[in-house]
Amino acid sequence: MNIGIVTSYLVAGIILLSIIMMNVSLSNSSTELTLTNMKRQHMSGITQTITSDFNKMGYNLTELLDPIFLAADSNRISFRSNIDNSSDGSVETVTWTLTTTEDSNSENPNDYILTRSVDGNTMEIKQGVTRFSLRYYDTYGAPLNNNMAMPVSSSDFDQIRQIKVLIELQSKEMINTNTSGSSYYVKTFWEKRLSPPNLDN
Amino acid sequence: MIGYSEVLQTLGAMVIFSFILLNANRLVQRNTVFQVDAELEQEVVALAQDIIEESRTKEFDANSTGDLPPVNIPGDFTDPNGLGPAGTTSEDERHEFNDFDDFHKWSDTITTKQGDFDVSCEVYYVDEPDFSTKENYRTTYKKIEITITSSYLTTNDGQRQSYVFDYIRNYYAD
Repeated sequence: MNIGIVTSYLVAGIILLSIIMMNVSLSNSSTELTLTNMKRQHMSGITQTITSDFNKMGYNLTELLDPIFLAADSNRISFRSNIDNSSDGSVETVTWTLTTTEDSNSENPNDYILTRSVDGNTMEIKQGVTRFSLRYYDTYGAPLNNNMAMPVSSSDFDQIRQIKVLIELQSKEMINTNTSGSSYYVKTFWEKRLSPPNLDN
Repeated sequence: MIGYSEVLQTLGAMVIFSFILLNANRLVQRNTVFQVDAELEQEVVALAQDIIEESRTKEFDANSTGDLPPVNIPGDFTDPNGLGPAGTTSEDERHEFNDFDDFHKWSDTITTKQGDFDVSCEVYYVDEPDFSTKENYRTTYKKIEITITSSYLTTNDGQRQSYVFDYIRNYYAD
């Protein structure tokens, strides 16, 4: 047996394995980057809609609506607004809810369907929403832990000044990392304390 | 060299492969850094908007918080050197601010799911036409400048990256 050839075969084998591992690693990194960008795009769409809706709460053409809120809970909010700025001054009821219904098209067991409903016309958002958390504050700039008790009592609806929204999206597919043996879902977060102008009265 | 030429060839291959591997690792690391930066920058923007929206809910000036507007505008507004909380304990904290310039020299560390962000604000008078220079006289325009940094967002030389956002408020546009 030629020891040189044996050694070279061994080394070649190690290099081959390393090339395979490197390909897996690059592939995972590329998949993660793509999924993260997709999730961020999804997040951008959701947050634009939320920001647009929330900033219009209580709005009507010639008057401030009263009451504004119909429900204010940790994962459900319902409010009144002339959301489409209709000239007849008709007021719509807008409701955002994180349901307990899992997204059947997703491999991820943690994501649920987020719904946006305007006067009962419901739009389902199935983009891997794993958290939709709301907190309410009766003072502008209050420390984050000083939120109002939830669900906010209807008698305290007119005390709400700010709403903190936290959304977490996760990928529908899992990323496998063969090197460490663990798998995970790509996550992205967005949190913001909104100060709708019509709550300032 | 019979029998060892193959070893030398494989050693050569290892050296070449090492360079490829190093580049591949650098690529993976760069991807990760971009991902983290983009995630944090998304939150930086949300925090800045948060403060701007909140500051807009306040009165333009400490002297315009009453039922009636000041007699002389902008002459009765706060002195440019006196911007900031009134100095009483009732306006020390963010939730106690009652006018736009109370955010002047305010700083805090805000904790989010993406980590801690250091926020500091500056408010000053600006004037037409460029709205960029700090004016040492009263005008009907105030600018808030928000600077946000994070220990995870750094420049190439390891210094903290500063993200600066500003918003100009006009007394007559309220």
